[in-house]
Amino acid sequence: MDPVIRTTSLSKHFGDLKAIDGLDLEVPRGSVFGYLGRNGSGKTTTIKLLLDLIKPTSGSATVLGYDPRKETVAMRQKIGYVAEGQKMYGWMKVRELIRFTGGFFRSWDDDLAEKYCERFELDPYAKVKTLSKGQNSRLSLLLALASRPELLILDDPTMGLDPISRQEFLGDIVRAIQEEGRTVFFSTHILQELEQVADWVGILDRGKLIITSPVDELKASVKRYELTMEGPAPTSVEMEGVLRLASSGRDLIVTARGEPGVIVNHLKQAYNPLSIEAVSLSLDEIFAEIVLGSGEGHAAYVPLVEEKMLPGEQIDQEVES
Amino acid sequence: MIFWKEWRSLRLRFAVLAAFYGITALLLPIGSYREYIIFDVLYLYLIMWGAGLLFIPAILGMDAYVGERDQETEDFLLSKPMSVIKFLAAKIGLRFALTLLLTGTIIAITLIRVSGPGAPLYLSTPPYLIWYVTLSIIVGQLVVLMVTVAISVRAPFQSTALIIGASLGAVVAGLPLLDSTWQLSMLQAPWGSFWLLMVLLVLTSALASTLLVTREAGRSVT
Repeated sequence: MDPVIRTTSLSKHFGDLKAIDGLDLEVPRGSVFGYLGRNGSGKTTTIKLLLDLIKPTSGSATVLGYDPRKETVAMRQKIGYVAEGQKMYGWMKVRELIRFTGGFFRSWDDDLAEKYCERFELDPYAKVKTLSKGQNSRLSLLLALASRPELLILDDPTMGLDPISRQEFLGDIVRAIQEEGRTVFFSTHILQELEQVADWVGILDRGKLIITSPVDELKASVKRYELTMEGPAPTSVEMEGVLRLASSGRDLIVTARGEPGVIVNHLKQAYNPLSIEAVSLSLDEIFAEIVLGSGEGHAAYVPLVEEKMLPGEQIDQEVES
Repeated sequence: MIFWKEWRSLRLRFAVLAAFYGITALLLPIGSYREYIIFDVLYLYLIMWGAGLLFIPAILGMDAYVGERDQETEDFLLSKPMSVIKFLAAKIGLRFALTLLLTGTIIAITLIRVSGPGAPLYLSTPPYLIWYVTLSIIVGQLVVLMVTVAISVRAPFQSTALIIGASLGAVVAGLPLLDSTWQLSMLQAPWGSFWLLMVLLVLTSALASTLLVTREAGRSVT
């Protein structure tokens, strides 16, 4: 089956800044694809390229079989889009905005819009500017869903929401996905929320796609191996798939991607540790390991003391440095 | 739908413009110039009106595109299944229709007062002159509107498009105005109307600025 989104060497440069650099991405039909990346990694730029809101510097893309550059209107008829911190016309009432948006789509379903309006507890007569951030996000989702799109593109839709609103919003998304069985391309930098809804994940860093994989497969293949050595731990490990190393005294921690049994055997044979334990990681931790390890094009070595920090703190520290 | 949305965002501005221009057209002291009843006086009047009328498309068109950027609704609108050309055509089309409506009404009021029954130039106004000046104004308005909208696509602020559009309107209208006043050599008579027109323009500019500031303040609050 053809992927819903396919990009080939897609690049977007803003002067010297390579916002997207040779992106080769495939999003399977029917998947909920989580597009992960730190702030400024190129997530929004990718989405704007896919929607033809900006022109690529080079490369090509197809979305639902359409060329975004040449078949923009036909393509957008089949896409629901929620932008990051989406601003809408504050002077319109909710029902006016729904009617206004519906006028653009051939497949717009007024009954569905009304149903979502009730479910999301939106007052049709309220002015958009009086809505809270959570209500604003729900209205954006309503407008994206009521045209019954084949592809739903959500660009960091929960940004700025409090944790409760975020959970409610994610619940709305999950229900909408379950009801319709559509493809969802979901960009975020908050991993816990992606873990709840995504079945595929793509990790973007500094404009480059580092990894694309089903979430379960990624979680099964990326593990942290904690080794205790007889003598001082080595500061480098010769092995394929190593994402990050950390050592202190006799303790060595290797984060690696691959078949766990094969990796454990390799580590045992190569370093003969006193003990070795494979620890499963959350998506949040996997993301941190992959992104932190991708910086120099090889597995990054860090002193073990940093391992005591939370992954989020490590990211922040990396950004600041 | 785009027409409806544009009309909703323009209707207050349009109403205020209609009120200013309409009242001024009704109050112009045309009857007091009986001693100067010659075609040139009428010509001068119409040219002055032309100068004023060329500001209408500048004021209506200043936010055509940059307004979306100011409200941060640019992506929301442009991500809809419609080409940018159609969006711009709809925006320009509605603004031009409103400009024509307002201009037609004002010119009709002025002509009735200048050449209608009981007026000083009744039956003496040559139709070709009326058509010539009217068409000149309309073409001038279309040029000003297109330039203002084009500027609003690139301009960082609505005021930039307004200033450049209004300046263009002033230049387009100013040259024949100066020419006609020079030829008439009787500047005292039309000065009253000229100053009235200037007051109108200042008030209109003040109104436009107030609208901009109010909108800006509203955005920062919400």
